[in-house]
Amino acid sequence: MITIDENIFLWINGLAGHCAPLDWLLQRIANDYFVLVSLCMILLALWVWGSNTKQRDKNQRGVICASLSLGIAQGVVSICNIFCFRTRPFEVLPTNLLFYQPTDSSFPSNSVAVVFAIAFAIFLANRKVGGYMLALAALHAFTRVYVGIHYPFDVFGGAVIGMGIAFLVTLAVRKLEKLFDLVMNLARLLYLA
Amino acid sequence: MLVASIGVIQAATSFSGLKGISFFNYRVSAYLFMLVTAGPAMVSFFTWNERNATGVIEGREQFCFFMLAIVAAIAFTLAFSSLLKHWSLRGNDVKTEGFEALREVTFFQAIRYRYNIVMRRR
Repeated sequence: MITIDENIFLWINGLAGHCAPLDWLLQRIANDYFVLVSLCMILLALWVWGSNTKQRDKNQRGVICASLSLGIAQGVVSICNIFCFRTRPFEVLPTNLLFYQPTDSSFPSNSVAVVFAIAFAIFLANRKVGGYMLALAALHAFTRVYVGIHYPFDVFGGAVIGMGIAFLVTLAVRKLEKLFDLVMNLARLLYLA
Repeated sequence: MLVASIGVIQAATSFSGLKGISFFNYRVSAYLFMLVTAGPAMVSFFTWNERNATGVIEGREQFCFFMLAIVAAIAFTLAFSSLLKHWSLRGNDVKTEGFEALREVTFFQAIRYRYNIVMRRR
């Protein structure tokens, strides 16, 4: 399994270093802020987006689920890092490193878990916008391997954790419908939702 | 982040027709405002690759700053739009709740209306 993981890593990372503009572009998409901030901006827009209350309510539920998923995904990854430490690929394999050298555990990918948690939570509420967000998250995951800081299994693990948490949070919010409605009604009373 | 958030909120409110919290009367103006405010911020995040060049990212601190910026952007939008539209939107009767009400009145006008209802009930 690890050999397959390493081989896929070497193949994807082997694509780096051949085309400078592509390297530059993917390096930027791999950075810690761009995709995450873009997704957060979309969340902010979705909070007010919608031509009627019903549509906006659906979006706002998605935004709340995404925000909760973001926090929980971050926590779960931190817990995983306590019990499992995997060295970064650039420390053990010949790598075209296009990024700075993180010192924390390679598995699971923290940033991938978070972006997938946000994107999948929105996908469950709004397929169209969520689809675009998932595509952006997938691109981010690919670039993390491309620039040489994660194995494919790290980003796959991060994506599974993120999507799993988003699914569970959405399920929990549906189960706690009354509590959720109470919060939303309070926000509506104050003209904040 | 603060400026970018204000721009994004403006574009979204304008698209949704929430005149009470929009700074602009025309959608195009709001979209241009978003381009001017959110554009440079996104470009800087896109090109800012050397930050925290060694070691683990301070995720929690970053998250707190981002949240603070977003909350400040929302507060600024609500306050500034209320002052800006105070004379052009003169809603004395708020028929709907939540954001829908902000199609006709400003945030401050809506809050004042709510306050008056509560006071009357007492």
